[in-house]
Amino acid sequence: MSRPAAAARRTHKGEYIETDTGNKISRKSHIDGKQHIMLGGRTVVMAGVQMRGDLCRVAEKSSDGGAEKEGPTTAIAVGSVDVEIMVQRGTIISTNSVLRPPMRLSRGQMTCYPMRMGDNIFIGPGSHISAASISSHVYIGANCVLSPFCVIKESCKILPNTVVPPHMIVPPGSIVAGRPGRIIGEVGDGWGQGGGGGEGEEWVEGGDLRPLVRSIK
Amino acid sequence: MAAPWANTYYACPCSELSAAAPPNVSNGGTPLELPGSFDNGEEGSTFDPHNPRANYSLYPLDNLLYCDECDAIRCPRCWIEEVINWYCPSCMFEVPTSAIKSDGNRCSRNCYNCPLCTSPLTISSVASPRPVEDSLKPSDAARPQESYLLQCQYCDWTSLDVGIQLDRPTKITEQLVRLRKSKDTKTDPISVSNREETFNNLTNFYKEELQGSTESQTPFGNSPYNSPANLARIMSLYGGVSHTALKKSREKPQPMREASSHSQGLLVYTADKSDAEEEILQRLKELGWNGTTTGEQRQMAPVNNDARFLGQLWPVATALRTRRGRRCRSCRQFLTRPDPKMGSIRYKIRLLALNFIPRLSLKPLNAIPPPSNPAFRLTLDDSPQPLLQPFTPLQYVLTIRNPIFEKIKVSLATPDTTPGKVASKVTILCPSFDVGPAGDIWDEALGSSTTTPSAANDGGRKAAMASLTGSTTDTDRQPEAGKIWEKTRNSTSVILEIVPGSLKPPSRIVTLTKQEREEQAPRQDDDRLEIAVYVRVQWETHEEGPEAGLGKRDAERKMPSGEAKVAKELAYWCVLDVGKIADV
Amino acid sequence: MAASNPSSDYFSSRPSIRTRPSPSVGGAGGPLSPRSPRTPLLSRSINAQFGSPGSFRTEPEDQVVYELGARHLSAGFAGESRPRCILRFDPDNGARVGDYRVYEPFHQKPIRKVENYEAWGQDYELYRSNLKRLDLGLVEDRLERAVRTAHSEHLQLDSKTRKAVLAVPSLLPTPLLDVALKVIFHHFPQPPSITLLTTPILACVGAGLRHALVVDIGWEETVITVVGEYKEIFQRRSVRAGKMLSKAMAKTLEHGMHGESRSDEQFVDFQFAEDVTERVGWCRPRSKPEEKSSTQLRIPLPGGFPHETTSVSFENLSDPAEEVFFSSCVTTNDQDDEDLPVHHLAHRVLLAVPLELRAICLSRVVVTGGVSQLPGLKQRLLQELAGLSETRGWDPVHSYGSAAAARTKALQQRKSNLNMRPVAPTTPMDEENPQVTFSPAKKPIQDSIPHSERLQDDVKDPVTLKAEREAKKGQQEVIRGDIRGVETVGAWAAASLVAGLRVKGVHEIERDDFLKHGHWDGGAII
Repeated sequence: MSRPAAAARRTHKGEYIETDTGNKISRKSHIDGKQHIMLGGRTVVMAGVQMRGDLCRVAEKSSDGGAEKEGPTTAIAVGSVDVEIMVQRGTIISTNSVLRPPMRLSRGQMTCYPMRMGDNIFIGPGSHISAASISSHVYIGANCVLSPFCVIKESCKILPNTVVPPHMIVPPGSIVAGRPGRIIGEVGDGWGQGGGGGEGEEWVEGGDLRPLVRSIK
Repeated sequence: MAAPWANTYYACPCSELSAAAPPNVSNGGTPLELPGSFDNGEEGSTFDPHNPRANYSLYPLDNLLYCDECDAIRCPRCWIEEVINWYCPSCMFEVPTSAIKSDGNRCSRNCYNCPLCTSPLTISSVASPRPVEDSLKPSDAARPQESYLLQCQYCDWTSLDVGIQLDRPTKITEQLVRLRKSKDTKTDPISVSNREETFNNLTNFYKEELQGSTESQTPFGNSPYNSPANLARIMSLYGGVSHTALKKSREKPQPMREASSHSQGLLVYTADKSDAEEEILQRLKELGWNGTTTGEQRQMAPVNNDARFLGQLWPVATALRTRRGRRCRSCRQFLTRPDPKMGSIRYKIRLLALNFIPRLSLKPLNAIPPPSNPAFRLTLDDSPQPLLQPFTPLQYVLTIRNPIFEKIKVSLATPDTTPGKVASKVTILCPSFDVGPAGDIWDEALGSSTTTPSAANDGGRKAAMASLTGSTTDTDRQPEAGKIWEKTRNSTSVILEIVPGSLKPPSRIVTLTKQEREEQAPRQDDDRLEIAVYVRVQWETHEEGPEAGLGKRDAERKMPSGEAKVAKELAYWCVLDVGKIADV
Repeated sequence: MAASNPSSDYFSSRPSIRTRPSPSVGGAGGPLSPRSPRTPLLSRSINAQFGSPGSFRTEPEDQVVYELGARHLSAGFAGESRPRCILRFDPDNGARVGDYRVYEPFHQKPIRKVENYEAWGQDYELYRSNLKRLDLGLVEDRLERAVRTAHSEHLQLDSKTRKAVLAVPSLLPTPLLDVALKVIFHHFPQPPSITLLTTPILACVGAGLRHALVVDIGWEETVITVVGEYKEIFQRRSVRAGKMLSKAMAKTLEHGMHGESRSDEQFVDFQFAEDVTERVGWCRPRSKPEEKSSTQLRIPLPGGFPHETTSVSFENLSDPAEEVFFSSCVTTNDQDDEDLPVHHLAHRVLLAVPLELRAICLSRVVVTGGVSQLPGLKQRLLQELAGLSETRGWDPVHSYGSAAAARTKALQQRKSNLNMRPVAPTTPMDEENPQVTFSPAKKPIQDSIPHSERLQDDVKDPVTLKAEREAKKGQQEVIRGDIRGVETVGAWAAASLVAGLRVKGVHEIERDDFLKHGHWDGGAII
């Protein structure tokens, strides 16, 4: 529940800043609007990653109550600040990925909606994520585009170079590929089940990513 | 690639192709003295991963299940699927069984896909163009000003392209059905629904005919006509068709007429006149290539099967998906069974092969740097896997990991040259060995006294520590024939020596015929060096307790020692992907 | 339909299709037994003529209908006008589970370079009728995967067992039929029986006809069948079919792209050629229009840069069909028997059947098969047939040489004879036994029957009445002689129609018999 900027524990001058909860944030990442981003812990943000927390709903402070109601009801409010990007534990965001909250033109105004992400999500390098939500144990390959407002449910696998079209809902356990992305199959029953193993073998797609997080230095 | 060991494929022994054992394994003899390689002199007994058939029996390990009643690997060919629920992937609504077939296995709510690109369609509102004379007619003011359309946000197709405009943003299916019906009445010679109409006409016609043939005889309930033999004889007299011929005719025979009009399903064209074809040619000329539909678009849904032009495409209702349980084909027990509750991703039963059969993984010895799991590439500019140079001996570490709680004896066998066009030489330096039982990682770390007394003599502690810390033993060690390379508590590694063959076929004096040349032509993946290894596993288990899955650990522990043990055996082909051979 | 106890009330009130009438309904129809709100009398009586008296269909169960072709498998439910899925065989289906290279954006299909015609498109076909170099095991594997996909993704069957109907091309090689039956029988839910139907008959049924000249232009060969009374009477084949067409299209495209000079090498791959054939290929009419329209079509090239196109004139796109099906450059003398142009083949087939049937079939030309969708093809075929019947008539002798003069004389004579004879109204029924005229007073026939088996000499004899009615209907109906084409709904839809009407198939293979004895003993031979 800590924000990257706050109380960063600088252990050594490595590439990563490690926070109290075990988040590792690359010094080479570009994070805007930190107060709108929440990282759950043991999450890695690698070099070149852009997180656009600044694209948040413009709070109309002076406006009347009616305008407040028009805003998205899905916004997650922590304290008095809206959280635009919420990431749970054990997620890895690889190099040069872009995370920007989805937005759409509504009544002549661009409105941003929050983006939620679950546990143990792997986002491959160079991906562009604008999904409305990504559930736990999702594996996203390299160079994917998750268009605004798509929803990825649990245990899905997005193959590299996929473009998930806007508003697409991917049901649990699907494999998505293609441009535009289509459901091309289902993950095996053993998805995410590592069953132990030696060094390097415990990293399984859709499995527990903690060992991988640990290994990134 | 789903896992680091995903470059290993496992062949389910259910097909005759993958069930074939190498000759000297199946012919008996003590398996422990099995040589590491054998001549593949006997045709057909080795498994060739390059055979196109092999693709149909090889699976990644996480796609395989294991039946603990039959003690056998189960693959999609030898399990039975049982649908637990049907749901729409877009609205996640569970569809009751009764409505599935009538809706064509498609969502009957508001979920539609783009007929061009399959992306989901969204409903957007458009302000309907106000007629100019609107102001003169005050009565029109009451009419709703907005109309709706379906829009694809990926390829910008809208339902307006095919002339669909909706009045309401809800009950889309109903509105579309109505629109399609009203479109039908328009006289379009190449209308896509002609076929349905003809089909329905024909069905009605045949139904009437069949009914008509029986009506006349129902009054004679007790007449000799009721007996089929009599009737057939009589009919053969009048129709001039023999009894056997009568039986042979597929349709309802004698009294049936031919359809004679369009209302009976007869569609006629003559040599000079055919509206439909002329219309098609005309449109083809006008619209050109970009106005026609692709085969994929036509086959996406039955509703678009006959759509030749883009303008004939219809929004496609989202196809339902299913959640399925899987049963063993021979003993019918559930192998996997998801929680019947929608939205839950839990399993009630899940017998995964990876918890039952030993897992093989191949790593280059002395690889610098050790190749990481390709699935978890963190940067884009990671260099691709280097190509293998032909005729250069390479050494690989083959690790066999035991997931069960019994000590297993493993014997490996592989043809000494790989079958197929590229002959690579393979030698397993130590073909048979033991692998210790699986257990808690802490058992391992704390010393192997509590659960695995038999593994203690293998220097379990040291190996366990090594496996925990991830440090490898000294690198100058030389691989030796007949010796195990490395051993931890539940895994054993041996060395594999591989000499990749050349992609070029040996030169010949005789020129090849066309047909031979075609057979010689390299196929895709011929440059991929894959080694088929026949793995034979033997272990002993207690009579009552089935061999331990992960969940059965406690039962296993409580089992008193010195009970009657049952020998079990499992054998399967496993294909290890080494890499691509360079074409030099 | 008052139920005797509350528990059965629940079941009888449900409009469930699964309710099966209890066996006693047929006999006594006791007050307790009827459960189903629908009386089984109708369905039983439809069936009773041909089934044994005791057996009647229990319920309107749904059947699964498959159509197997060399290039595709269609599957769906009986009684529906379209299959739920049409699965094409292509090299991408053959990937391993977990091998996703197919979905990479610039994925190249694993096509082997094709040098001879034999191998053209062989990765896209399930089987070929030349079984010599065909791996039947691979066919089984591929078919098994296709059936599994159809079941789990498109039909989404529950575990209820359903009968199956399989439509196959006539003279499908028996080993292949065996494989197909094996796959479907073994597949879950295992059908208790499979009814076999052949495509020419189905095309005829799907056109609403009893007799037809079915021209099935398929993938490997064009099969022309004379169907009379729903039976295949005469059949001939030609290799001029879809495969040759797509090959010819590849050549045309190649010429368009690279000029005439380089015809040796193959640049146009199968998929592209097929795509072009399907989308913009057409067939020009027999009489060429004077003005040549110079419409050019721009066709994007596959695999290349997104906007790279080639330009082909619209006229040229009709060349392949012209060349393959109606090539006029080669005389029929030089042609192999299996390599006849389609119209010549049709002509030859018609010549081989009796005159009466020929006349009927001529006005019932049914063109079916994948290529029949080519615009203009059906009409062209009729035009060519008309042309042939004009120039050659219906004489099996192609050239009389020096005897030509004698023949014309004889012909003239025959013509005058023909004119003298009044044209008798005929019905479809009487052509095989033309002496029978339909009248209840027709005694001589009955006289030939032993007395014990003689029918009631009742005027209201239903069969006679029916026959008479039919004869009347037939008189106005039978159109014969003039060349006419009839559209068909296609083999799958016709199979679905037949199964939906619950007509009992003749070639029905029971699962147990098949498993015990194999196809040869278990079912009839097609």
